[in-house]
Amino acid sequence: MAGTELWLTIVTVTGLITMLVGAYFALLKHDLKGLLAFSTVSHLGLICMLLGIGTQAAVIAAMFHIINHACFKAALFMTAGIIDHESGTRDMRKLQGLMGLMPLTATLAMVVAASMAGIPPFNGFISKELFLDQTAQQHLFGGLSWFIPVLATVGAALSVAYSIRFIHDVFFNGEYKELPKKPHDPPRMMSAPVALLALLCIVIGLAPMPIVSEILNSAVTAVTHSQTEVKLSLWHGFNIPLLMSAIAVVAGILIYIARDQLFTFNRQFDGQDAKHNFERLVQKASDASSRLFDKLDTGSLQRYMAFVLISVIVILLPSLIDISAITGSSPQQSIDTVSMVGAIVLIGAAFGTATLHRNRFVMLMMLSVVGLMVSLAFAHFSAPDLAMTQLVVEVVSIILMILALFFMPQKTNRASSGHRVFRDIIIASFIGGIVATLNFAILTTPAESISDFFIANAKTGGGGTNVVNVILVDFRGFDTLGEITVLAIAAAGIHKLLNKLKPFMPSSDVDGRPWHRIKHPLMLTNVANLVLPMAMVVAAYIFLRGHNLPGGGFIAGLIAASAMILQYVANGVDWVKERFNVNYQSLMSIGVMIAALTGLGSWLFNKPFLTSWFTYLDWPVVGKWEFATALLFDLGVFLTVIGATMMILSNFGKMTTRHRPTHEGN
Amino acid sequence: METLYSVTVGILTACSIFLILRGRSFPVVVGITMLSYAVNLFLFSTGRLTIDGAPILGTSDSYADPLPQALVLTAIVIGFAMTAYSIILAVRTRGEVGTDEVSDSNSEDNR
Amino acid sequence: MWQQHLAILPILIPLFTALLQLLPWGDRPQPKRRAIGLAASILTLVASAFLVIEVNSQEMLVYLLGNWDAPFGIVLMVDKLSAMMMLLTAILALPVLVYGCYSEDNLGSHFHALFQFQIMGIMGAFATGDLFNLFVFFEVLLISSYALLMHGGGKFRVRATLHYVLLNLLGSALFLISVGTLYGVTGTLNMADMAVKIQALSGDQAMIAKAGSLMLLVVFGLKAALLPLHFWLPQAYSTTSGVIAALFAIMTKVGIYSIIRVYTLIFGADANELALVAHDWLWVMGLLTMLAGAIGILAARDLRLMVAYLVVISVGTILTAYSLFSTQTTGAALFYLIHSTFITSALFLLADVMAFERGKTASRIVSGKKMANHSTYAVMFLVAAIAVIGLPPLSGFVSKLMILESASANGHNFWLWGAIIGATFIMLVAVTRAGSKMIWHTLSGKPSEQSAPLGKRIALASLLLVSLVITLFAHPIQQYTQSVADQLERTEDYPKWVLKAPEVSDE
Repeated sequence: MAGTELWLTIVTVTGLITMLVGAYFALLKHDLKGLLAFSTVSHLGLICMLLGIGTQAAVIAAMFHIINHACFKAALFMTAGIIDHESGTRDMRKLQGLMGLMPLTATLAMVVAASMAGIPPFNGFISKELFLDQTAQQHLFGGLSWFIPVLATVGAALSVAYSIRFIHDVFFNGEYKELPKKPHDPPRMMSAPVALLALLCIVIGLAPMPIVSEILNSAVTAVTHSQTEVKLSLWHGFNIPLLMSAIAVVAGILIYIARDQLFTFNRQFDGQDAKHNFERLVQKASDASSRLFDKLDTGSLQRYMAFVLISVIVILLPSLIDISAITGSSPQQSIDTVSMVGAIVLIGAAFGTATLHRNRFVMLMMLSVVGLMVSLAFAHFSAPDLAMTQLVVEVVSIILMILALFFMPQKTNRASSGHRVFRDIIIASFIGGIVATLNFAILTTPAESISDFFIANAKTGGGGTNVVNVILVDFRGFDTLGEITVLAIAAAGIHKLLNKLKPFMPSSDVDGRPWHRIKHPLMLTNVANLVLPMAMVVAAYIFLRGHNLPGGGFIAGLIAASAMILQYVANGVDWVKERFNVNYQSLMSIGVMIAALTGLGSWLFNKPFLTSWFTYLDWPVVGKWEFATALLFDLGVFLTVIGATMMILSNFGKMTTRHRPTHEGN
Repeated sequence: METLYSVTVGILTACSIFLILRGRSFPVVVGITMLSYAVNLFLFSTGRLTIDGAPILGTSDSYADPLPQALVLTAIVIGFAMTAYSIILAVRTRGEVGTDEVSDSNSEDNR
Repeated sequence: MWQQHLAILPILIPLFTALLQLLPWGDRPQPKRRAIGLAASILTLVASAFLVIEVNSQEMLVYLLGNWDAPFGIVLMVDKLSAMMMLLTAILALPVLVYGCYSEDNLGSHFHALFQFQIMGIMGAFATGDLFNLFVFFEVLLISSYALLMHGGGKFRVRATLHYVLLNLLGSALFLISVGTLYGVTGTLNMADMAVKIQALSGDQAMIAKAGSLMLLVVFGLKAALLPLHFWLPQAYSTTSGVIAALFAIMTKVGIYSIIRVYTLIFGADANELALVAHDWLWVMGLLTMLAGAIGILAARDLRLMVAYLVVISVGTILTAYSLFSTQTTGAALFYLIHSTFITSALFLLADVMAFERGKTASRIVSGKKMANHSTYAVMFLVAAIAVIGLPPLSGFVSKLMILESASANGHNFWLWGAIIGATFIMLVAVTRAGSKMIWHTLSGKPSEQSAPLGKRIALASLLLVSLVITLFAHPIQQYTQSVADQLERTEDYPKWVLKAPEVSDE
């Protein structure tokens, strides 16, 4: 990533910020080692910044500064150690006037601190000059690039200030005061390394070339992958960097003199250290976020639903407003009586469902009227398959909901507040309005679609005259495969829900009457036994004719399943289990498998998945009859529907009996 | 006719949405079911309205668009699966949580 | 023969596997189901890998289901984006399934079958080139997720599932209305064909289609968890079992994929009156989503909830970047998508094993007792934190940098830069805070005696390893995502490929 503009900018800015923040904190620290630690951070920021600027000269400056920094910082840390060892404290508020007591240490410290501050003729001066020079030369921020050298000078000034503080606070600043121990210059073994490093600072400062050029050359070559000639010297003449240095020294002295103001200013923030402050800040932010969230996200589904719906309204309204006339160019058909009556009943029942929702049984009855009218609408507008399917699905759904109602409160007692009802009516009307608008706009636009293909090819390509069925099992058989998969997953999921269910089990009905003891009324038993074979024949008939006339696997499956459910109701689980012990889960799985395998069969003929094939065979008795692989596919649908429906209904029905669903299924 | 049809679908949708915004699981499930009816009517009508034109070859001169019918059939079945799952999930939730409220119990939402 | 049917294998393998796993299998069925499931996941992975190789050379695989010409039959349209997403899913699924095999699968019935159905649904959604078929596969993946989300049961989980289910049922209804509207105006369902038809629309018809397309944005936004449709996610992901949350790291990506697919191919730059209808919305919603996620991770008192909000941030980041609609940014966003999927998934698993070993304090962000595998988790947390926050040198850093860099050319970049860097800073604060409380400041006393099974730890480690591998192979992966973005931009090629794809004729 290095080498790209962005990278450089990020690194430079990060380095700059680190340098300034580090230097500022270094100045504020009362602990000698604390001062040095933050100063180290600051110098690392400086080096980082140089690497970010990234020119060859900058890299040289960075490498050189690493060496110089190592010299003076190591010496300073050792000095701090000596002072601590000798006097028993590192607190600059307690230390003062040590010059008279430990003159050698003080002299050495002054040399290395001057190097850190970037005072000539020490080595720190050279690398700091190089650094300032680089900041003045970069153009990372176009017309705003000047702020980098300005801030760099500020950093340099701070560095001068804390260097002065290190020396002045400890060794001067008045007479010696009582300390835990009375300090002296340390034994020679302790001051020797400091002296050596201080010497190095002077020597490198005076004669940089012979000492470090070799090391720098190899380091820079490694970093920049190119040969370079390092040129270093103490004196560059009067130039911008020198001016910046001078400003930094003067400003640093002024900052040091005004340091008490700075400490006072800073004292208002603490009592504690920065880390603590930061943690408190984070805690505050976190608490505030929590409160904000509790307000926004109440864990209320109602609110989430409202958000979704309001999003729809907000996002869609502009484009709907842009429609100049929603009436398209197609003429409207005239309204016939059947449609009128149907629509009125449908609307009435819909309102009934919505307004009577607090009596749940009534609500369900209203819903079933809605479903019935929808089914009639399909029948009226030339969709017999849809009408039949809607009808059987409707029956099974309502049965399921009534069963569910057994475990649910039968009534909602509290009413919503008027304000909320009003809001909900507004949202509902908007959504209803949007849907109606879109619907009307589409209905009055002339139709142009790919459907002519299906009508033209249903017989010749798919082998059936019921075009809807041919689309389902052939043209778009993949949808149907997905659909029965959904049904199978739902059945498995419902089984999963039920076998760990601790139902809320009422012992009496809503008015307090206990449930009737008679389990299997005789009348019902007889009817059920009669209905089953009949229903099976009807199912078989509807199934077989599905390819050519309204019908098909789905409807047939639901009819067969309903008849079987009747057996459970009439005769009980034990009776049914004795007679046909089918594992519905396997049946459903095998059903989907048959459908999928039918699709897979076309691979044998090198055709894509679900490619159909049909022929006409002479069957005994019935005569010539079409056989299509689509029929096999539909058989899969049929079995899946029976298996899944039975798995759902029988497991749910069994909740009230001793045959509770188990982990593995039956 | 087209006006009547779309107004009916719109009202059916609005009633369903009103139920969906209730604070108890059962009305919400009923609302979702009713919404699926409305949506099916909507999707069905994208093939426009045709009377006496069932797409059974050989029974008519002009057939209704069969494709939306097939789509709606798929949607009905999927809707059935979803209704069944959600209603039983509502029962299970009531069994475990002890209430059928679908909103936070302290807020004004839970009516 | 396999080559020819390659596109459909990642859908069919999980389907048949799930169906097999639904069969009884005798007295001790679980070991057999595990074996079948693992074998199938490996096969799916192999097939998906071949798919990526194949599209890399052939550009696109078009599979005519039932051998019917497009746009009449349903087609699978596996381009580079689809193949990438499918491979991503397959790679993710394997370690997650291994994790699940360590008795997570005994917490409720049908874990394995539902897992495979889930994969099938996701794969189908990525592969299909038909808008209604996309709806069907959405339903497959949703119904599986409904069942998996409540796996293991419990009060909070079941309640969160109920909310998730009802909200998504509303979403499905809206999906059908949008599909109906678009069919009503264009008369087709095939995406490539629809793209052609949309270009020809004008006037009021275009406005109707626009309404349909924007409703679709709400639907996909709900799946992707875009503000203000994201509220289901934190609740659902933080209450479900760890293994399911880890698998669901890919779920929001299905929403993101659908947005990219539909708003590039159908309503992209070439759509005349409907060109880029969604991008302004995506831009605003994406930025706000990042903000919501950032507030969320600060507010989170539980590690799992925090990871859930990290997912929200990643969604915001990807979609904001995508909304700039430049190939470079999209390529970078896709790289970030790969990275964020794996790392959030790994974090969910890590939170899970940590919660298990911490015992009573579970995944709450408070000091707890030392865990049995404390140092292992400390290292894992460190790696995951570096990656997810986006610190150098791991994949998060690389991908965020790529997004920032690619966005530089765009006029909006100040906001995106601010948002990404701001979110990164907040992530840094929040995640390190969680780590220091849960890992470094443990209570004194005996460490926990509960130790997560080695297999779980290995599964988790391998997910983290994937993250490292992404960093290592950043360059070739970046090249691939860039080529994905380049291909997406050439929308005019899609109708050529899809509508001209030849039927297989008789020999």
